[in-house]
Amino acid sequence: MMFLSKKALLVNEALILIGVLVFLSGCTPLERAAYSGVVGAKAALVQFRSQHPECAFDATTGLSANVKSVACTANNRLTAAKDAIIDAAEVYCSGTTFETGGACNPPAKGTNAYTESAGKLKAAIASYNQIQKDVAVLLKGGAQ
Amino acid sequence: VNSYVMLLDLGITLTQAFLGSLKGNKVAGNIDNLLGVGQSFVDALMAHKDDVITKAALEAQRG
Repeated sequence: MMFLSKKALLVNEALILIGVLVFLSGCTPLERAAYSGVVGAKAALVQFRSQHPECAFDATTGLSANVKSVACTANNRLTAAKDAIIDAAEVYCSGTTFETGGACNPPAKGTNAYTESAGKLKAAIASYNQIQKDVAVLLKGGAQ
Repeated sequence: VNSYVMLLDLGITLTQAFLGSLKGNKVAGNIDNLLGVGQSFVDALMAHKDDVITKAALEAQRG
């Protein structure tokens, strides 16, 4: 009978876990991917805002009227893109149970409603990702 | 349950490793600030990972 060393077992276990992670990320429902995205983005933006009091962010919208500062406009662009994901997710999820306080209720796969709303949600997520990349470039010289 | 906890730990470790790899230059410094580098970002994901996705849950992330 073969015995593996403790190190080999740990490596093996890590590889299995990485495989499971990759598998899970590929199977994440669209609404969960969208929700995780907006949750992460909101948390990052809230922290970012706390570091830029000069932007005087609106407590409700999270936006700034200061359009001269890179940091303020970066926040505004990311916030708008994040909220666009929420808009698209609400359309995608908008079955009867969702509208009455229940869980996300997407249309059945293969229907036109599914194709259209899923496409818009994916586009909103892609747009957010692109804006995040653009903002990173904007901030290259330092948030002002 | 232990496997699930290990899975989450590994997920956090990988995320932090990725974000940590961005450190070390000015661009990364700003991304670091923007994303909260594995702190607010990862903490929020962990805190909300089991949320039921309702309209109220989505609306709470607006703004």
